[in-house]
Amino acid sequence: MKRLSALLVALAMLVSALPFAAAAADDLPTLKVLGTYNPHDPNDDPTARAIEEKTGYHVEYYMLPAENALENLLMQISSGESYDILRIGETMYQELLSRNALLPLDDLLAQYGSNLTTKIFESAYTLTRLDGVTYGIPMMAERASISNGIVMRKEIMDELKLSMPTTPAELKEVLLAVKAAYPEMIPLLTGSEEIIETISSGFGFYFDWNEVNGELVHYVEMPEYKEYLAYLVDLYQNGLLDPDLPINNATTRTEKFSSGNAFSYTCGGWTDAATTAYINAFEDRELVYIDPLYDANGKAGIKRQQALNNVTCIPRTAEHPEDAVKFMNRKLDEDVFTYITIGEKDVHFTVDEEGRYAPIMPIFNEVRNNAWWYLNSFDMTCYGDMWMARTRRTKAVGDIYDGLNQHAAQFAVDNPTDLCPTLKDVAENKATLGTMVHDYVLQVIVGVKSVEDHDAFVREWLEAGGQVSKDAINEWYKNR
Amino acid sequence: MLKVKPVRKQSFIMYFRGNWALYLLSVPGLIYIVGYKILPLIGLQLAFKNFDLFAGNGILDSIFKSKWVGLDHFEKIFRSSNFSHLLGNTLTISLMKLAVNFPLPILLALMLNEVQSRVFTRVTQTLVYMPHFLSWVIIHGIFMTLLSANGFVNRALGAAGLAEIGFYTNPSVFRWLLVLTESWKESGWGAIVYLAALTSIDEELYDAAYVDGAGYFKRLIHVTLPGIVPIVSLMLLLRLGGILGAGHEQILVMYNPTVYSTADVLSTYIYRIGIGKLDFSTATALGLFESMVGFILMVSANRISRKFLGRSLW
Amino acid sequence: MRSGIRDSMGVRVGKGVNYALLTVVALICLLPFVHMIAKSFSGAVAVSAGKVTFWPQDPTLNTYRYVLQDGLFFSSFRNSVIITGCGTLIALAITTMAAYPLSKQHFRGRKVILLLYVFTMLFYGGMVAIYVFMRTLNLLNTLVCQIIPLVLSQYNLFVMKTFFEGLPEAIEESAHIDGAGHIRTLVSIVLPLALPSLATIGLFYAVGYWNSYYHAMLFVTRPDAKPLQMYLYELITKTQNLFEVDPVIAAGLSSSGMQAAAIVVSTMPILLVYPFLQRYFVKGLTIGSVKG
Repeated sequence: MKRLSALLVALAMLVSALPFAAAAADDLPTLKVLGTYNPHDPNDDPTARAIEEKTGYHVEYYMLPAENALENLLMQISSGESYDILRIGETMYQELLSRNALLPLDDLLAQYGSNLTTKIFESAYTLTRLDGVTYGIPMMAERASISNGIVMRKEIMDELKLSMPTTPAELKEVLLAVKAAYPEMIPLLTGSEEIIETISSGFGFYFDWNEVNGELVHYVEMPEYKEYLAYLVDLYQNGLLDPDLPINNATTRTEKFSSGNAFSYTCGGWTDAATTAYINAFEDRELVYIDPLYDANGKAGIKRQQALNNVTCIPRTAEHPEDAVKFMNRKLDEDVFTYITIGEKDVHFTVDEEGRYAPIMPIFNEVRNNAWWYLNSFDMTCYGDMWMARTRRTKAVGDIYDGLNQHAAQFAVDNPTDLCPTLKDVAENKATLGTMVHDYVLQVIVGVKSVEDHDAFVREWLEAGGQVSKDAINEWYKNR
Repeated sequence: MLKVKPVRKQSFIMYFRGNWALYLLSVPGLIYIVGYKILPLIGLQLAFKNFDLFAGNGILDSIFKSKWVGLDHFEKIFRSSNFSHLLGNTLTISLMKLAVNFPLPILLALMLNEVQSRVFTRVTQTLVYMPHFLSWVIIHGIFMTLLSANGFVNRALGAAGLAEIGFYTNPSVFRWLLVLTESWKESGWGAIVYLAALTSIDEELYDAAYVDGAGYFKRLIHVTLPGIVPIVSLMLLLRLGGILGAGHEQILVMYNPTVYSTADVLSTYIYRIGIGKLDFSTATALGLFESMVGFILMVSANRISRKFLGRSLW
Repeated sequence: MRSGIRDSMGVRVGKGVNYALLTVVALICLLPFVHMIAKSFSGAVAVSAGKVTFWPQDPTLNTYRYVLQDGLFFSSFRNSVIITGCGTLIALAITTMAAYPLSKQHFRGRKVILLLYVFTMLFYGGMVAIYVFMRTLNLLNTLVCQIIPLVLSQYNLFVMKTFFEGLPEAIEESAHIDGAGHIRTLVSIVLPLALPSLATIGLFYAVGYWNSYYHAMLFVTRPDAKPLQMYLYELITKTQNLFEVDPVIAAGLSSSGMQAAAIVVSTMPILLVYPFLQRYFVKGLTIGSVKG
């Protein structure tokens, strides 16, 4: 009994000692920064130390949980948690904005934000303004690029003397030829995408919202989408898609592709796990990236992604808003920005005559791997090029990036909704409608639903929020 | 069965004087229940309000200042086009699980109880309770490699010239997949409580039964089973309270659009359609509905049990 | 005792079948773990390609190196040990105290209190309300806020009460006649008799604490106050886009290999608790105490 109580006391002391004391800084206040989840200790990272060294500010970093992050954020902010800087996703930003929880930044920016106002383009700021007032510092996608495509195994194409497919019909021929030669293999392994853009190009649509006669129309309502669906059904019925399509997930896809059990795969980006795993597993083999397919009118294209990724903002409850802006502005000073983002030239990275950045491995990774997490904004005049260093950290990742973007000049098209700020009516329905379409596609492909009843689905989709979204987005499009 | 002495007329003060210690023992538990469970029940009003986190000064104030909307959220749930279908699925899956997964741990405990080798018991017990520690995501991964169309089982069936089974795509087979994967995960864990009850049965009763020449099944019926009846009926009663929770997490991880017709239950539907997402009020309303059904069931079951078995939880 | 009596043929066959069945069941439960362990020690290429069954392929410690990479693993492990240790002891104490009076049929107010427990078991104020609770007491980002939510499980309380009810009344009566009060009877007579049930409930609480991360996800944003399960859970969630985060490390890892290592790291400590508790599950304990 005595031992037990001694143990209890000891444990109780440990517990009470836990709200750890924070280190005091000289005269500058300690800033509290909340960011989204990333698997590293944000308070113990070379980039964090570099920032403190260069700016003089001591910063305590906090992270939202990996799941239900939005709910958690709202509860914290509404209960008055006093963070000085929030670095959050766009949806989170819009939620806080619509609830009037954020501090207007215009005055602070005018006073202390010379870098923030000159190095970030005005066009980006339009995405974070509400009624002309700035509440957030925008972080766009680092570089406009193509983010998906279909990869095929070159050695099989060579062996069977197949040429690169350029239309949906040719793609089917190629897959049929592979099926005939390798009956056990999955001819086309698909991912979790709503539309396979390489294929949808062959039916004449490239985006979620497509311009038709001056109006934005969601692909669900386009007759071309019905043809696209019928095509996928046909592939499935011919055994050209994975029979386990409805239950595939990231892990099973990686397993199937990287074990050589699939001929082609819909690669979801330059960091796609399955593609990278394949490249690592078969270093002597090559993948080819097929171009977006041509439609009946001889046109082809693929979306170039250029959207608002993250926003940095200051909650009304912040204790040091002025210092927060000063701190962020300081991080954009030219030498500071380069140092905290990619390190020192010729120590951590190199630049060749043509201005191409490359990391010096492994030191780059050791000191700046998590640097992106600490950025509150970036210098839009140069970061697009500097960022390329990050895509060159391994050969596989660089190869995929280059492969997807090989013919970008020829095929890339800009999304008409790229510069659309988040619209409440669209955002609120986006997840629900996305799930609906995702489920519907699977049900149609495996035959639980028929593509003949597509009109019924369109009605359901319009009722579930499609109409509201459509009206809102066209309202913006007309007045943009 | 209890020799309740005729002390009923004793005044409470007299009773308290003799038994104050019992009340003292109850205090910590009651403080906790009132403080952490009853007080937060003010949150239940959100089911009847449109909760706006930023309506007041701090969250607590916001709870009170949000607007009343009456039964709107319940209507949204009950009026959803396929409510009766979803409720049907919920109850079917729940009852299937009750029928299979309630008796299994008892059976397992009885089997383990018959083993005389101490080493064998310990090893087996430890092994059968291990799956409890795996999350549904992991279990799903394991069963998928075995049971998918390309999986081990279907390949074996194909090799033997038999028809493939769509474990994950055939709507009626899929329900059994839900039931049986839960059996695998929880039976060993569920058996622990019965094992503890079995070890508490007085050995003298067994010895007496031996002396009387009772065979195995007689001992089982007259000694073993009566010994665990209290805990069995408690477990059944507690399970009834959760009848509308058909296994939200498991279904969400394991199902796919081809089996929505039989596997979509109330909570998964609301989650998937996104009404419950970031909408604390609808989520609260659904929770309240599930609680009320569970509470009514438990109260009735307790009453029935008292009437017919002479045994009750309270 | 029992083994002294010769079993009939039927009973002996039955026992054989019983052993065989249990062995099969145990193997079915064991194999996935062997599979996990093998995966966790295998090279990324072999794991991704699904080539690992029950023996590591291309053995490596990469996954463990990644899981145990930084201070966060150790702080979260320490947090979990403290939460589980303190939580289980406190919970066990409160539950025992609450269950004992309720097991007495004569206890006045018993019905009301029981109904209160049943009611609060089913009705739940929701996460907003408990967030307010923790925030008001200024407990966010501490370990205490991870202990409080599980300090009394009504389920465990009812199990405990049922166990107490099953104890022979004669013993307690004799204690009362000897002049022992309720508390002394509980501590020196009832608890030693109830060891199997204490072990059971203690196990339930310990496993509950060890596995829980729901509350931590609500209440904790300080990376160094997270429990182990949350650390691992988030690590795994993120590993699915590990190539984005860290392509260099990712080249030597696979997400399912990572999951496997996380399971091994997080379940082994708590699995070890059970065999230790099993010594309290010994039969004849009751008898011995009554006679002694």
